[in-house]
Amino acid sequence: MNKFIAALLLALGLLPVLAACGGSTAPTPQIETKVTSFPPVSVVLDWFPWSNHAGLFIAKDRGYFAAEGLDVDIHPPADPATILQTVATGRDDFGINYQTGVLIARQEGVPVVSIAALVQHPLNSVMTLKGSGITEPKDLAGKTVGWPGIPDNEPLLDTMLKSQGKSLSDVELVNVGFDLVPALIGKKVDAIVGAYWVHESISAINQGFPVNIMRMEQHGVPDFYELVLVTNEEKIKENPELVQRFVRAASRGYQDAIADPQGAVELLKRVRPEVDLAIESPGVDMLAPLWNSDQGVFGWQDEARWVEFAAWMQENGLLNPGSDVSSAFDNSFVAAGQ
Amino acid sequence: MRDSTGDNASGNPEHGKIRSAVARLRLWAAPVTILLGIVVLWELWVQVWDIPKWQLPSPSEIGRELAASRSLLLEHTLVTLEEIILGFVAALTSGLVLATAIAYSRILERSVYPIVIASQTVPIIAIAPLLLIWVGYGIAPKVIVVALICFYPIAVNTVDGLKAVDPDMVNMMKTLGASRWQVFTKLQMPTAMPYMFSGIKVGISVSVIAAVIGEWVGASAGLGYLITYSQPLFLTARVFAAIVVLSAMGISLFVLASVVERMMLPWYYTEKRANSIERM
Repeated sequence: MNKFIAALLLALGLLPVLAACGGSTAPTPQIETKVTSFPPVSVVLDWFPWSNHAGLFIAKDRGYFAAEGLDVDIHPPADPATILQTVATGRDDFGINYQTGVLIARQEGVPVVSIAALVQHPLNSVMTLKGSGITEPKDLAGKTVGWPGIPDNEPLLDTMLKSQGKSLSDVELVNVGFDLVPALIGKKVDAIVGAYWVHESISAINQGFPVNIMRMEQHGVPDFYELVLVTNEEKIKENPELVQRFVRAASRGYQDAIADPQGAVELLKRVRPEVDLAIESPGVDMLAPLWNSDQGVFGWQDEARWVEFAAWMQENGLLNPGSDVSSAFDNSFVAAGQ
Repeated sequence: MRDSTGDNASGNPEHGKIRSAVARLRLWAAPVTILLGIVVLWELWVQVWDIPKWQLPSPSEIGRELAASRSLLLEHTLVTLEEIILGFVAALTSGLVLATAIAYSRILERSVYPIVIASQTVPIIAIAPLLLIWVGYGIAPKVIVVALICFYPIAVNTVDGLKAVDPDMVNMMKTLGASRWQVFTKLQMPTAMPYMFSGIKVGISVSVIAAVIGEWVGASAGLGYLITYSQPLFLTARVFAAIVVLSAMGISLFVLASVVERMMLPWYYTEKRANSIERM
């Protein structure tokens, strides 16, 4: 029996060592033969490629990443729900995710940090069909609202309703998965929440269904960063130079995209032909102004906005009281680029 | 056989009971040890390497979550179970009817059977979101997914069973004046039953996954919904707790199907036991 335990402990002890050996020996010759001074960088997107990713693809295509010595691979997520996990474990070096996601993740011990705001304001919105007569949150009382089953959409909608004297209990929520627009234009639901007003709205219009849009920050929700660029704590500590170079190159890419949004989506179409220009071309003109902060800086994160949004999350039960907000984001990489 | 156990019989009648208890213990010892071993290894692995619970919760963590969220889990379990039962009954009925038709009609076999096989190649995950649009967001799309997935093993196994009948036996019954109905009920059905139950057992095991797929793409309740909802909240222990419940549900349904099989096919099991004794 003692032998068995010894063998067990040996197995437990040896396996990770063996795994570590395998991991460290393989990439070494690759690094030596390349000009880059950093290991390949993996970036996981929040969704399939769309105009919001244009800056990253520009930075790759025009060699801005290469100029920083970075060999960057950009790919869609295996599952949109596990982006922060793959970033936290280092499977991906950088990722795109929601501000709410970063705060909830940190509370559960997932060591991710936002290093730049990708979109300065909410894109998430409530949409209804043009002829429905539902143009204000209060009109939603007694209606069915389709949502994608992502938890933060419930309090977001609730706050919008409360801004006009209603609440979540006045509507019927229907989880329609990610097929929000088909649910709306198929008249399965009266409204949808969780759809981007620079993207899904256009796909509805293209199907022949103009929509009403209710923006969140105009209906009681504190202004938040819809999407942020994240990495993990270890990367910031162990390799801040890599993070700095990545942020700098990405910022150059987005400056190009802001200067020429149509050129940006054409480039996107060239590198990712599955992209639908009928949606992206009109969408990018609405989206491009949201890439820069009010001060005209890409990626800038304001502490007051993080604190205010976290307070809203706490009030709405998305976050435990007393959560540490200041370590959830790091504005130093963007600030250093100025 | 008896002669060598003379001392046994004269000495202690309890001896035989103890022996059968030991045999029973031995029967259970291996599976219990393996399961416990896996759980202990898992627990040790998580503890020794200090793996954060959002990555891989330990069995004790999952146990705590099962206890803490038991009413939540129960509520969602009942929803999933309802979808499974309705979907499975639909699959069983349609599977048996179609299998009988295919087994009896060459035209149907040539025309419908290929479609049945093709139905299994349809990626359900791609169809599931469309089902929501076609039939709405209630229980219906989940029941349809369960039925679509369970239908195939039941139908295919039953067709095989109905065709496995020994033609000599059919001829013999016919020469003895049996009607077509009598051949079916007295010969073909009993022959096909073990095959059909194999199909049922496969179908009922995958029905659990089917229900989760149905809930994955859009649901307001059920264990699949609970998993997709818990993931963005990084509640990995809750995800595993739901998986434990799903596994328990799958095993229970399988056992239930086996029990029904034993009750309906007593002759099959006495035959089997006789064969296995011969083998020993």
